[in-house]
Amino acid sequence: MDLLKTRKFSSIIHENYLLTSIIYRFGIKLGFGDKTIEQVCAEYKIDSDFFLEIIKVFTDKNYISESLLMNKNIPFTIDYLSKSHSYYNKVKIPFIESLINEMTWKDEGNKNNKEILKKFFNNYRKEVGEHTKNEELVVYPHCLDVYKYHLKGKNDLQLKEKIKKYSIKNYAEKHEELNASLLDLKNIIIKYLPPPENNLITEQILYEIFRLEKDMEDHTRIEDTILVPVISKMEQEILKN
Amino acid sequence: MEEIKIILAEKSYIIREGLKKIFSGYHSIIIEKEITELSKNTNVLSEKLKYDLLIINSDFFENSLNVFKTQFKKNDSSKIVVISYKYFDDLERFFENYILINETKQNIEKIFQEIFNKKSTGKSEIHDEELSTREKEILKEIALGNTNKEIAENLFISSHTVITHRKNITKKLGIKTVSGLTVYAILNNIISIEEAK
Repeated sequence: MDLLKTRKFSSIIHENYLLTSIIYRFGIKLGFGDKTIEQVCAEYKIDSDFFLEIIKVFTDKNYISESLLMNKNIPFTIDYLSKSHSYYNKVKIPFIESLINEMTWKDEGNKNNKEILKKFFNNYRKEVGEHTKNEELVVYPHCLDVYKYHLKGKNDLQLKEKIKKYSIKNYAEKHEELNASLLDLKNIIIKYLPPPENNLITEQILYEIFRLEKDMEDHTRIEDTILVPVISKMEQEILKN
Repeated sequence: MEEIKIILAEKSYIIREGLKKIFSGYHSIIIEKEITELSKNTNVLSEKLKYDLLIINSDFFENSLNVFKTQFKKNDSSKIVVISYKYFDDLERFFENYILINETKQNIEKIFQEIFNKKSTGKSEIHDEELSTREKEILKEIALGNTNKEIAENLFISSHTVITHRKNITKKLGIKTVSGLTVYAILNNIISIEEAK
């Protein structure tokens, strides 16, 4: 996607409607008329360069953002990752839950299906909740600490000790489990669940799950290829001081 | 069936010969290279050797599993079979295919058959097979919330066997998590909704 700040904001949505989910978490609402990307960003007090980088990362999974790898953008990135968390926890997952609630089956033998699915999804919701909470309360604050001290170039013994015990690299691995649950859910719906009366609902649920999965992959990619390496490098430099 | 080129990275003469014996039953398999020295290990990974399947003993990367892992991207994991003297958690986590040294003849044949089928069809085999009675029993135990060790005790089998069954169940159903398997078990009347915790 060719992205200039002077482009009309509306045109990027025409080009890729999936970006609506990105602008949502930035708090940007539709109805921007003919305003440019730069104008809309200014209106919402968003750094337009950063915004465009996120759009590029989201649109092209092979895109390597030099800009996001720069130290100064770390606070923006963390803020974006947190926004994504609340988008998952407060918007997307509850929405899928409400769709599951709408499923109905005719015959008696299937009366438990909804309850079973709800229970499964409720587990998943809790898993995501715990995972993101841990990132919010432990991982991201740690990253910001490292960022701040690295910026000041101050010799902080306490932080050094902390890094020795608990480096960013220790966090990186836990995403697989979350992904496994979504994969399972897809297979359950595609292969094993007796179709409900209102088939359109199943289609919607599947669509939402596929999107959530893709979105979380992008999210993980930002953590693994940007946040972890940048912070890890800072940690090494702090330890050397 | 197309030719399958294999690299065998294994220090033990006995195991190498044993594997060759097993492969002698397949016409299309060619042992491209045998690697017996630990020091040459890194070469296998970095050299762009052409092979369809790498069979490697876990003692080749015992202390550097992370290095090994990063060199093989996920896509390649179907091209590796790890031979191991004992079970460890990372085996299950990182490798699609592994063979324990005390694996039964049946299981070994099954593992290779599956890999070769994938190679020849170019895609993963479609598992439309039904679960076996034993697998259903295991699935029931899983859905009831029992651990591998508990299942082993309840059914008088080893934990390894339980793990092998679990792997096969996951392959057949396409469901990996305990809660996913529980959903399947309830939907198929293997356990009742009341029994599921």
